[in-house]
Amino acid sequence: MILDEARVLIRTENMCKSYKLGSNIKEAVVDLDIRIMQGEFVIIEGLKGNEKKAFFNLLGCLEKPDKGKYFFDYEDIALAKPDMLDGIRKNKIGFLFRNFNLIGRLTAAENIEVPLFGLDLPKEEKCKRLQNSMKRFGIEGAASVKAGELSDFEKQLVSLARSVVNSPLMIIADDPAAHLDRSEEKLLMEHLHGLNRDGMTLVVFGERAAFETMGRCRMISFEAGRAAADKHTHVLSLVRREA
Amino acid sequence: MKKRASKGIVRSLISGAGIIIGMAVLLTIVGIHEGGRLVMNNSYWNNNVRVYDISLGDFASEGDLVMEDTRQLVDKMPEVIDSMAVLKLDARLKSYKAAGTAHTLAVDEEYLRYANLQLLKGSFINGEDVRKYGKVAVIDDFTAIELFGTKDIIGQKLNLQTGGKEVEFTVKGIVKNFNKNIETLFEDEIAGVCFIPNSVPEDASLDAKLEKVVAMVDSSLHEEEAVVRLSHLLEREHGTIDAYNIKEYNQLPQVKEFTDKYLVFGVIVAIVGLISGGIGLLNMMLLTIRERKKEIGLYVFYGSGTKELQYDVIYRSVAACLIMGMLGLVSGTAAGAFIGGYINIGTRFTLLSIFITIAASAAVGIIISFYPASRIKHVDVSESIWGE
Repeated sequence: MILDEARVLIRTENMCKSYKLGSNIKEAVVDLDIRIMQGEFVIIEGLKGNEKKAFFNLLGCLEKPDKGKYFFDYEDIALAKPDMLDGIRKNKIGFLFRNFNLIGRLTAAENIEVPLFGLDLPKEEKCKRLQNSMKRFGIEGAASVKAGELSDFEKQLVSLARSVVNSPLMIIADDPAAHLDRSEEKLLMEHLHGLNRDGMTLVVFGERAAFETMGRCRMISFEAGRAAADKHTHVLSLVRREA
Repeated sequence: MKKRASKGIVRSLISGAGIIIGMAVLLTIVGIHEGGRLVMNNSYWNNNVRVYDISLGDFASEGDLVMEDTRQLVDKMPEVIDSMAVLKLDARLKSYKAAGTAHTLAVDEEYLRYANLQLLKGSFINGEDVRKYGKVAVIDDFTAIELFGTKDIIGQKLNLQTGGKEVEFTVKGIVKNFNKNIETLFEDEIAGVCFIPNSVPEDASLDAKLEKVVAMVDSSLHEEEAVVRLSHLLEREHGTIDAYNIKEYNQLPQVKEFTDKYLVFGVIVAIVGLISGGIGLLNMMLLTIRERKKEIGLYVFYGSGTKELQYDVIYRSVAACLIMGMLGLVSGTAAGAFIGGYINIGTRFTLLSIFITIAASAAVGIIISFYPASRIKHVDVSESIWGE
């Protein structure tokens, strides 16, 4: 991946997103103005439950903002058609979930291949990408094991391999260490930092203070749907950005 | 994994069994039709000849139709290309081993083609054999087994007892029994047949009754005109009025009978089978989509457009139907050969069968996949990724 530190990957202008709870409409994020550059490691905290889901869906280009502007890699998401949103998710974003979202009846390798299904690539290239992804996270041995039979840590590594197999610009993660113990969490964070060092942009939704201890990242804190704090002091060495 | 795969295959086979049955019935009919066409290619009809059976009416006397009439027809009516007398004998057959009855006919060599007989061994009644061996006979395979215990009886001696006389014949050929058909499928006794040259009854002074005279007429002569002219000629010869039953001979009575009786039934079974099998597969696909809602949602979430997934459903549906269709093709071909054997028609496996299989299966596959494919659009992607 060629790191373009001047590339603005995410830009929002007075962006609002609401969600439906029964018959009520609730605000998830209100008047949000943020900018995330390529190569940043961003942690978002303070959003829970439906608010988090709504913001995650929005950042992941599954939904559009209700108000304001949202640009992903210079594309106006508010105006994008469904096909275009599909294309962005397919080519530019990887996803990690706390519940892994693996298909239990498929093997680890088949799960990793899921994002490749819609990509117009030669079979050899798909195979190469699959092998590289598994090799990167040391899960070649689990390739033929059914996802349902893997440990939580292995499941998250498979999810991680799945999130990078389409060579995205950014990975959005939802509390990926929720089901892991401390040592597994540390290993996972090392993998995430490794990806970040290679230029991958990471946006991690966290509900625990655990991420703070990892250091070297940008943390955006939300309160009542508004960005209350945006700490730029901890940065990764690869991202040459002003503090 | 093998267990799961085999379970899936069994589920598909049960759901789509109707397609297999429908295709099998359809291809059985096609196979018999194709076999019939092959016979027709060798028929008189294909060689511009119409065949008429002439027999005596209810008020005629025996002398109104005689062997000599065959020559008269050829000589006095230019459109008559050939004519043949078919004589019937009430005879009992006796071999060195056993005795039995058979429907005995005195015919000439044209009868093989006329009756679409299938020669299994040796040769049919022909001038050369008659000149060389004199009294020759051709019997059917059932009678051969009954009298000799085997079909390898070419050259064996066979005695024919009729009207207190016993005449020895040499067996020169075995034909397939044409009385074995669907009608007689469950009957214990199937009538045997025996053919002898039509010159023998006169030469050996045997009691034979002229069953009919067969006239081969140029097909350019219209059926009604041919019947009138044949009738007039015979009436003039014998000084009678309205003494003859003349009708065009259908060379494939078995096929016609089969198609008349079973075609509509077969087509209905085929249609019902294809529809019920299609509905079965459609149901299974809907169930699969419901079971795999999360999986489909994940695929959509990872950017696989719903169109790609819909094409995938259509592709799988067509593939499943083609597999069912191929199984139907195999069963239909086997069933066609079985039934064809009973109606004396060799069925044929042709390109048309393969084309029908592919076209009908693919059509069913495409039609039934539309509704399940449309359900993919309704999968809630957000629920798929956030639902536990």
